Amino acid sequence: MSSNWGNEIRAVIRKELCTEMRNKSATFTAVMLSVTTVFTLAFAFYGRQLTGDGAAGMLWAALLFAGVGTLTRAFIAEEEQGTGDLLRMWARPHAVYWGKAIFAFGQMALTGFLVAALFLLLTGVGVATPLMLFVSLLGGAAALSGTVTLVSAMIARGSNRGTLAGVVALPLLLPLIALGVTAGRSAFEGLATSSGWAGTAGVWLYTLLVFATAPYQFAAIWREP
Amino acid sequence: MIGCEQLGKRYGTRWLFRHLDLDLQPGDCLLVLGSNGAGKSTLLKLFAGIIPASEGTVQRPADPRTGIGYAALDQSVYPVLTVREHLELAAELRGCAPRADELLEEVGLSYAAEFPGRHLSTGMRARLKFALAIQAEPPVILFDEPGAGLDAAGRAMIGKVIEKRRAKTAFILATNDPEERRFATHELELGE
Repeated sequence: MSSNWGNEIRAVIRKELCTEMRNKSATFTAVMLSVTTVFTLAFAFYGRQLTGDGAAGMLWAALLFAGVGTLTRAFIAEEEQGTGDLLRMWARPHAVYWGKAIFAFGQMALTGFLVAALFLLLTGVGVATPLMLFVSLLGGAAALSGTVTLVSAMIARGSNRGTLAGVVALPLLLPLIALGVTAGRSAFEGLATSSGWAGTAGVWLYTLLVFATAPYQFAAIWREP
Repeated sequence: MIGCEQLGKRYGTRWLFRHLDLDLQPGDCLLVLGSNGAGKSTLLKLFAGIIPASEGTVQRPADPRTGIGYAALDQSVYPVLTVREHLELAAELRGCAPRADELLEEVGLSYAAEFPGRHLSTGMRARLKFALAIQAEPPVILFDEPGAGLDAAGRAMIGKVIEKRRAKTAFILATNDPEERRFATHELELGE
């Protein structure tokens, strides 16, 4: 049996999946946070006509709340239960990053589409270009999972992690929020022209940038005490 | 095989050790002694590649995943993974054969193969960590407080594990247990 990246990444994903299936804490928390946020927003705007701007902003706020609230646990849980050193001994840093990020993407995509469906159902807001909303949410889930996995590794060994998570995540996520809201506005209002797709393209470019750089940043911090 | 040159580690302004030179070959067994807080565990973590040095260099096998086996008292196991799943996960990540049945028999843990990590006692966890450390038959094995938490049979098991591999393996044992001096070819006292 020889070591290769595919096997290593699959092993990390399988470990995450197995852990999640047996204690269900992260998925449950993500779903509860998302559903609560969507219900709150739906109650706040009950009976009012939402604009594309407002709908896109609220949808992304719910996504961020769920994502940052739960995915930052990725490495904190390892350090809290003392198993981080096992991964450091057994796996190469890039395999750990990709395994954790891909698993987080699955979780985030699942939560994201659940949030979007619930949001559309409860607010009754119409989507002029559903494909654009789908593509931008998919890209947003990928970028969020890649960024938050890195943030989780950065804060995992620090003290006062809650504050640190916000401080580290904010500058990394602000460009994504701006691009995601722009894409969402175009999708809700039907600006399916080339300028309408610019926001979605921006989300995907940001995703590419995250996955081109984050594994290297992760490798640099993974062994620091 | 494994060694260091001018190795030093400090936390804040306090140096645990400095200017350390070591060179270990197969058949060597270095016993690292010292009082609590002297830096024994830290030295093993440096050799394992878990933490970086403050100064100096460490020479270790090219691929530490299969080149170094490490078991430590303060190491945890995954609470929801079974003993067998730990060995399968480690094997998949390292690219070696799991050898679960063979290893569990060697460390006396066959009966607990399907126990999840959270149901293991301190001694059972120690045995699992030994199995994980020797899984890839690495040329370098690091044991931090190997006898801690083990009963007499467990300590005898460690003796067998070391004797079976000592011709082709370099061992570093961090300990306060004088009984483990019987394995040593070299000794290093930290905190002097």
